[in-house]
Amino acid sequence: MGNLDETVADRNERYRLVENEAMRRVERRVIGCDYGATSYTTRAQADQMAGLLDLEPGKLLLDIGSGAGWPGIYFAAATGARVVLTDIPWDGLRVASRRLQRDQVAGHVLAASGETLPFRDGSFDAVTSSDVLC
Amino acid sequence: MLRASHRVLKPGGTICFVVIAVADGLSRNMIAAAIEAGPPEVEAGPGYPRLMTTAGFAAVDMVDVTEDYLMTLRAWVREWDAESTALRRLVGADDFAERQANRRRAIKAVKEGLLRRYLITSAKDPVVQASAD
Repeated sequence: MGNLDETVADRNERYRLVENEAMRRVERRVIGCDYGATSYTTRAQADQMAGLLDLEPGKLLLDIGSGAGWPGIYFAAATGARVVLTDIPWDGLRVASRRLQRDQVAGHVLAASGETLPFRDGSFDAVTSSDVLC
Repeated sequence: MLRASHRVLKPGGTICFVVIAVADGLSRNMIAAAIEAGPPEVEAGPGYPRLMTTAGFAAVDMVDVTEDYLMTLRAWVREWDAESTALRRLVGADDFAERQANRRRAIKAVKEGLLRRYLITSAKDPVVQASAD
């Protein structure tokens, strides 16, 4: 559990910095977005994934290990689907929550582990994640 | 996570994710080197097709996107260097150096064939049946 605690603390610390303008400039040049991304999913790859997830208005997407909301919020914004973002580091979810509001995307955040998802069976039309432990 | 994902998906629902993994067919020492070089999420395992099947998914499409991963890793290093003054001030010189060293270590591991990144897509059986969850 020690390693997980350290990883969560480290991620929380990093998410506190992702809204800094220098970080955003770098992210825009590397990933093609400015959500506070920490994964290696580029915008081109996110566009490919959005197609594979077959999202459309009325559908519900779960993003596990969502961090600050990339690419889950982007998927929802691009397709009109609703999104639920889950992760353990709360500071990433705070950034994601602000982004949902700012972009007026239908969705919410929830602190939860990907291993024990607190949802009923058959709740989601699609599930996604980027570089999280499976 | 895969079992839980299968459980919360509707019948016919889609899962699509990207994951960094230890390459197949490595020696024990090379696996340890891959885990050391990769992000904290990387671990050795039985391989994603088997993990997906065990979780209840049937047809699994797995695309190797390691070249894109390598390009993105290099871009992070390059762009952090380009913004080094501002980023050192923001995160501190030690953290800046550690993050760049970690990325360079991952680049080396990818080039040596130790780490791979995959785009994996599957769907839950559209017919509701006894679950493996």
